[in-house]
Amino acid sequence: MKKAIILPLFVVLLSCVSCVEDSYINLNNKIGLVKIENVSFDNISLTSELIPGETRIKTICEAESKFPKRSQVSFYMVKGTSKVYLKTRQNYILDYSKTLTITLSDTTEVYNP
Amino acid sequence: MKNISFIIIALLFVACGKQDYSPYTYSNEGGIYSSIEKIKFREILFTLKPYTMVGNKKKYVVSDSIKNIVVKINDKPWAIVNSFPVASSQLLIEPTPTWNLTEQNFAYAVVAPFQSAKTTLTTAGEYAALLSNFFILENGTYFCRIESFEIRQKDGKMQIIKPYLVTVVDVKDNVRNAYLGELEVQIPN
Repeated sequence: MKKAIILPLFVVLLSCVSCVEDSYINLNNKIGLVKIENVSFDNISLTSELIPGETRIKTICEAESKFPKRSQVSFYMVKGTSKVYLKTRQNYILDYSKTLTITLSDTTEVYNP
Repeated sequence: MKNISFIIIALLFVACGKQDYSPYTYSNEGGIYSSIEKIKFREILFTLKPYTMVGNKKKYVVSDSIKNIVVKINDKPWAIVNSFPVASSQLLIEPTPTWNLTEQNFAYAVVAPFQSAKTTLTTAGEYAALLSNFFILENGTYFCRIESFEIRQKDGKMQIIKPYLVTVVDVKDNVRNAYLGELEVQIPN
């Protein structure tokens, strides 16, 4: 009797805790002269700071039902003691178990909300 | 029984239910702001005195104003401005085929505040350039160049003058502007 309860329970628990597949965001900063701070995508924090030429990889481990994620990228552009808050005009799309590469460069269209 | 319990507990600890909590909240402030409270250098002031030589005498050109004065600091764009309009009714005018001239001391006042390259910024590179140029004038000495300006002839046509006039501007601590003095420019008859 006990085995009849425990085994199914074990199977149910096992299925509940099984890992989802990771998705990745590859963030590149190619904006010259400045650093970017507090970069985020769809309320996911990608990095606190990135200087020109640097790259960050963010792993997102969420259920497939939460994808695709579609969002602008927002960040602070900083030079010395001055900063401006910007958002990309483009929306980026992250699919489940895929890698999204976001490159912020001098030609990336942005606006100050 | 004990082994199975242990496995279940172990699996619970390694479950891939990690949430990615974003710790950042962003203010809704727009535009550039600086954490430094002191007064920033923003303006250059000078007077322009275009003149021409008549014989051996220096005579100053009289017009309504001077337009599109291109000002650069250390060869970077600073501003394109017009002079203040002038009233010339009290002057003794000596007309020539091209210009109205006067021997009296006559100058055009110019205030050149810093201007960003574009009124509407659309790319990350433009914002980066604005941030880079906006506060580049820390305390120190810089070369200021009057690259060109336009002045109206007697017949109403605008003539472009390229004096490539260079002078020095000193930026001091907690001071909003600097006066460059009177800048004389010889132009063709």
